[in-house]
Amino acid sequence: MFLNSWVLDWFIILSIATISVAVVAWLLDRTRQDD
Amino acid sequence: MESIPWINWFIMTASFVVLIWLGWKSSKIVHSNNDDESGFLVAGRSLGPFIGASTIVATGYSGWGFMGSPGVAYEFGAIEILGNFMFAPAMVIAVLFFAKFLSGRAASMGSNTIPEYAANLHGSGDLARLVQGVAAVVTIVLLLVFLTSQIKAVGILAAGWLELPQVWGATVMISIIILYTVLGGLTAVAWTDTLMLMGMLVAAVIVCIQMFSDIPLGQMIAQLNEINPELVNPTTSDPYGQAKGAVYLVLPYAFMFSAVLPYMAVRFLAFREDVKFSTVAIFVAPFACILSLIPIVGLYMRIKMPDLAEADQAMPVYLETFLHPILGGFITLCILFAMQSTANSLLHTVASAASHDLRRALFPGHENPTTVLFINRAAVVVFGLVGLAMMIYAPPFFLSWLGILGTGTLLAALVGPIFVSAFWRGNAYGALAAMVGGFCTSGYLLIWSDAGWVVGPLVGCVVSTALYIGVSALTFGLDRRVDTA
Repeated sequence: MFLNSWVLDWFIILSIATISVAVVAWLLDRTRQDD
Repeated sequence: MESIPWINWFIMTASFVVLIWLGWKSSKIVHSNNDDESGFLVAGRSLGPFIGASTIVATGYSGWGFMGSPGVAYEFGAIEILGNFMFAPAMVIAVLFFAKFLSGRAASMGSNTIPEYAANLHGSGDLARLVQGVAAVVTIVLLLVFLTSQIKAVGILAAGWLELPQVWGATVMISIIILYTVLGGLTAVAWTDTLMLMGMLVAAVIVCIQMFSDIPLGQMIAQLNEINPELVNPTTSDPYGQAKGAVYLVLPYAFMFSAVLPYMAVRFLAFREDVKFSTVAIFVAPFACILSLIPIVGLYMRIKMPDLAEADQAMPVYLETFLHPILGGFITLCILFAMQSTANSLLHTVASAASHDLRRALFPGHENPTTVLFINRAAVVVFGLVGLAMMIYAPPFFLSWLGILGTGTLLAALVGPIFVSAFWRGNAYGALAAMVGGFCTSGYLLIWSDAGWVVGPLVGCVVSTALYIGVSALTFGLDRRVDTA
C-alpha cells in the first residue's frame, strides 16, 4: 500500500488507468488515421 | 465566513444572462435541415468531441457528487471516494466501446431518441409503436421523479444562497432551464452543460488546492487512521455492500448507467458523423477524474469538524467555514450548475419521450415540421411546470416511493433492447418482455428487499437480458428479426 489505504491506492491506480486507456485509444486511432 | 447576498445575486444573474444567450445562439441549429425534428431532439447531430464530452460528464455528475457524496465520505470514509469514482472509467468505457455503435446504428435508422431506437431496432408497424410507447412511458414515469428531486435540490440550495423561500428558488431555476431548453433543444442543453462543467472543474480545483495546502494527502490519511482505521482501510464496502469488493460492482452499474439510460445515451446520437469517439474519451477521462476528487471534502471535514450533527452538512459547512465568501459563492453556483446540468437533460429527455415517442406511438402520421417543433417545445414547458408542481404538491411519501425505483429500474428495463441488442438482436416481443420484466424485478428488489441500489438494478438487468433472449427466441416464429437494422 503506497498511500497506507487500499481504497485510496485503488482510486489512484484506476484514475491513472482510466486516463491511460483514453490516451492509448486516441493514439491508436491517430496512428490508424496516418496509415 | 458570512456570505454576501448581493454578490450571490450578481453571480446568479450574470450566469442566467450567459445561459439564455447560449440558448438563443443555439436556436439556429433547431431550424437546420428544414426544421427536421433531429434539430431539437439530437442537436442536428452536430456535437463535436469537446462539447459532447462535456455534456456527457456534466449530465452524469449531478449535484450528488458535490453535496451527497461528501456527506457519505464524511460518514463512511474513503470507500465513497472509490465508489463515486467508478463513474469515470464507466463513462470512458461507454464512450470508447459502445457510443460509436449506438450512434451509427441510430443514424442509419433515423432514430432521434432512445425509445425510438428500441422501436426501430425491433420491428415495424403496430408492434414497433407499442415498444416505443412502453419505453416512453417507463422513461417519463421514472425520470420525472428524478427531475422533481433535482428541482427540489436546486430550489433548496438556491433558496439558502439567495435568501428566498424554497418554492421561489425552485421556480426561478426551473424557469431559466425551461427558457433555454425551449430555445435550443439538446444543443442548448449541451452548450450550457459545457459552460457549467467548466465551472464545476474550476470549483473542484479550488477545493483541492484549499484542502491539500492545509492538510497534505499523506497527513490526511494518517489523521483519519487515528480517528478510525475503517475510514481509510475498511473491511467491508459499506454502504455499497458487506463484502470487501462490493464497491467494484458500481463499475458495471455505472457503465450501464452511461450506455443505456435515455438521458445519457441520447448524447451519443447527437455527435457529428466525423467525430472520433477516442477523441471524446480523451476529454471525458480527465474531466470525470477531476470531478471525482470533490467528495474528499467529506474526509477533510471529518478531520476538521468531526462533530457535525448531520453528515450531509459536510459540504455546506465547508463552504461557509473554509472559503472566502466570493469563492464560496462561486462554488455554490457551480453546485447549482451540477444540479441544473442534470435537470436540463432530464427535462429534455422526458419532454422528448412525450412529444416525440408517445405522439408517434399514439398518433402516427402527423409530421408537419412546424407543428411538431411547437409540440416539442410545448412539452418542455409542460413537463418543467409538472416537475415544479410535483415538487410543491405531490405527497412526499409518493415521491420517495417512486424515487426508490430511480434510474436503476429504468436501467434494468432498457438494458435488453438497448444494450444486449448490440450483441444479439431479438424481436419486439422480447423487447417488451425485457422492459416489463426488468422494471418489475428491479422495482420489487428496491422496494421490498435489502438488495441495495446497485445489486437490485443489476439483478433486474440479468432478468431483463434473460427475458429478452428467451422470449425473442421463442417468438421468432410470430415476429421475425428486423432485417434492415
